[in-house]
Amino acid sequence: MAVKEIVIQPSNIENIDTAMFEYVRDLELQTHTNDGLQITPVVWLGTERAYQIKNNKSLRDDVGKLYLPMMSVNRESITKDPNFKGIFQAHIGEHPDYKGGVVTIVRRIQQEKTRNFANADTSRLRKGDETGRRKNEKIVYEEITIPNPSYITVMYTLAIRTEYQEQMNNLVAPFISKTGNINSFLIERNGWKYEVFVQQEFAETKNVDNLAEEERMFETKIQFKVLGVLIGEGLNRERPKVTIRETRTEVRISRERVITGDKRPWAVKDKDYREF
Amino acid sequence: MSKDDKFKKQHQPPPPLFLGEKERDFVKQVNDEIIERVVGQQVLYFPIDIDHTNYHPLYGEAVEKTFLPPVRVYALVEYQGIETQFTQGMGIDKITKLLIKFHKRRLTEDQELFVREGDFVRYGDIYYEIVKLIEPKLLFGQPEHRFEIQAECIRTRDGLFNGS
Repeated sequence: MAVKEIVIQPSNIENIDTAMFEYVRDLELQTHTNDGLQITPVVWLGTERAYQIKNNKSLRDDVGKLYLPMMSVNRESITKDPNFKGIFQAHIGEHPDYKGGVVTIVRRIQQEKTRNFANADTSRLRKGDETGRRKNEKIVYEEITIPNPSYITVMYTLAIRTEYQEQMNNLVAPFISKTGNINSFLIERNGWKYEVFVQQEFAETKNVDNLAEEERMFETKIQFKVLGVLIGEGLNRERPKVTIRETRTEVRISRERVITGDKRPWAVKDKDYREF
Repeated sequence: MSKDDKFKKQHQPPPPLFLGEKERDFVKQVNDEIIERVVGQQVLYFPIDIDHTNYHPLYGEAVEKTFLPPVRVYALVEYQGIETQFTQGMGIDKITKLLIKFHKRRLTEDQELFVREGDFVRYGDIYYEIVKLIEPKLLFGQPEHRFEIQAECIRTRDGLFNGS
């Protein structure tokens, strides 16, 4: 049976950001507007000015004023808390060579070298055909290792802005009720899963109690705490993202020899021997 | 009295006597002449090409920006000087601002250019980013005829945009 290999890129901050954003966007939360039932657009806060103005023109009218309701996702902070240790708790130093790597994630048989060991053992038993089925205990594995995972807590704020109280009710309710009586759910991207906790407070800001000359508006901010993991330093890592090493099957100790005048009488060709 | 001389009710009311198309064209002509022939300040306008710039799909940012062919524009430029600014946690920095007053009709009708936030202009040898737009005036109070676009610009760092 053919082995299916799945390529998984290391988890990084961008992957966590994208997973969080895509989760909110893919909820496709709807609410009533004067154009009927509409999906509320979600944007990532803090894009460049030209991108904001020119990328998605459906977010604004002819003059450039934003259509509401609208939601934005923003990353507030990243914390590396020593109390949050994650699944892989121990700190193990990397191999002190150029390859590095700590945590073995995959082990596969190195076919060629395993076969060589088997054939070498067979050739000691019979001459002529060295191949054939035989129990072989000298199996060479390739171990794939990655750097130590670093566990982080990332805080996001989802800002919901609407023109009507009804719209706000429609958009906030899923974040309260979707997870039932617990506050957590999983987000996923590129094979990585992160646990998200909806924070308790749904902070409302509105100006209806003192409208004065301002535009009537409603805003709610919901905070999400994401338990994330980083694998490696990203672009600035000096060692490879993934390291492949072969395991040992046999330890050989060569015969001690004197420096000069030590011939091997049984060897037909003794290239290593040097007469000084 | 012939039948043709009889007063007929028009479908639409007549245009205002002195605030019609001819007067608007006259205003444009005078403004063009003052801005281009008398004052003569010009900037080079770099519209960012959203289709060909490789923006990050999430963060909406691009280290290398692609722009449409730059357009030479006559405008009234108010140079607001170079100021020292202390950037928190970094040290002494400099900030330079411009206020550019574009003649809207000249841009949109003659040069097919639309001023947008996030585009860049070159004034002298320095690039500026448009950060704020104001359209303060209507011509003759007619809402469909906006007259002027003021663009507040800040000097860009080399890492943000380089049109050369």
